[in-house]
Amino acid sequence: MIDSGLASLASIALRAAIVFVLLVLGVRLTGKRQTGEMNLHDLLMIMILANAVQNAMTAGNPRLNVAIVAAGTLILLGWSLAVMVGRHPAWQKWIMGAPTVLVQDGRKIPKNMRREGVSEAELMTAVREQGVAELARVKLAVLEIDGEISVVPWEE
Amino acid sequence: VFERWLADVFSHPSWLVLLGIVGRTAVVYLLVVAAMRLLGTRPLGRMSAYDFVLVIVIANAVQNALVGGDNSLAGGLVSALTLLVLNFFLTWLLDRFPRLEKQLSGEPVVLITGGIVQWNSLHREGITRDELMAVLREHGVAAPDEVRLAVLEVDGAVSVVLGEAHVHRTHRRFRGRGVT
Repeated sequence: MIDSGLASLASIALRAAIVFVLLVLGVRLTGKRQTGEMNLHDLLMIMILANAVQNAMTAGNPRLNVAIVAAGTLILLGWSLAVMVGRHPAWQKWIMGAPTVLVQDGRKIPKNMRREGVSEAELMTAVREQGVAELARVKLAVLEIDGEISVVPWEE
Repeated sequence: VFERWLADVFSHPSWLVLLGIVGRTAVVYLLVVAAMRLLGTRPLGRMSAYDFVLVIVIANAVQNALVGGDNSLAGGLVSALTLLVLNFFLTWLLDRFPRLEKQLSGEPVVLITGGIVQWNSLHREGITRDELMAVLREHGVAAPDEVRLAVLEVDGAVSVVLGEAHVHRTHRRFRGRGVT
């Protein structure tokens, strides 16, 4: 353990940066998009994941400046990721994924549903939550990048 | 000095310790998932402040158990990776075997069909008449007989499909009742 102030803080920043990059990658690769609202299980998973990497970032050091450097690094990286995605919309597809059409003109697109792991029951739940009972009444249903299924009914 | 600095960041405990972290994380994950299933998706339950606090406290309670007091970068990343892979595997399993998913998270329950309230289902799910009426009002409906279909979804939300009158706009009778 190196105690000389600046070097140790720099190592904290590097640790936080590595954790950030790997977590973004890891969640992107393994995380199936959760459909619908975030539930308790999802929230708990996120909290536990955050706690699992906590000591890896701060090296178990409880000092305030360590905490500030670690949190600051994360905020800075999160902000630059958002700016990057904003400037290059094409990158968004790689980092966050693209929306997928699930239903077009009342017809399911089974290939897309399989690829995104959306079950028939999940789709119908989203449709009912929009106040529509039958698939035939659905003009368009899209799995958005935030995992929500948006449903556009036919205008009558 | 720089090499020593790098070594500080990238030094990792022995493989045996890392393997122990994988094991600890797996045990914690399984216990937490089991506990969540016991708590269940509360009917009509949006996430309350109580649920929120519970989740954060549980997460903090298991924190040191995950990495076993290990402070290395590698230890934390191994633990995080274990969590991600296990969660991926669980969701894959639930997708693969829909029957297992039904067992774990339940099936949607019809509460109202064709304007008729299914009291048996309501009793079984522990939903009171007042709660049902509150949900209907939140959807802008005053009485059950205006509802074609109301379903308690597995995530605890209630979805409401209105009667034909509101869609076709032909049966003015329903609208004339002073609902709006």
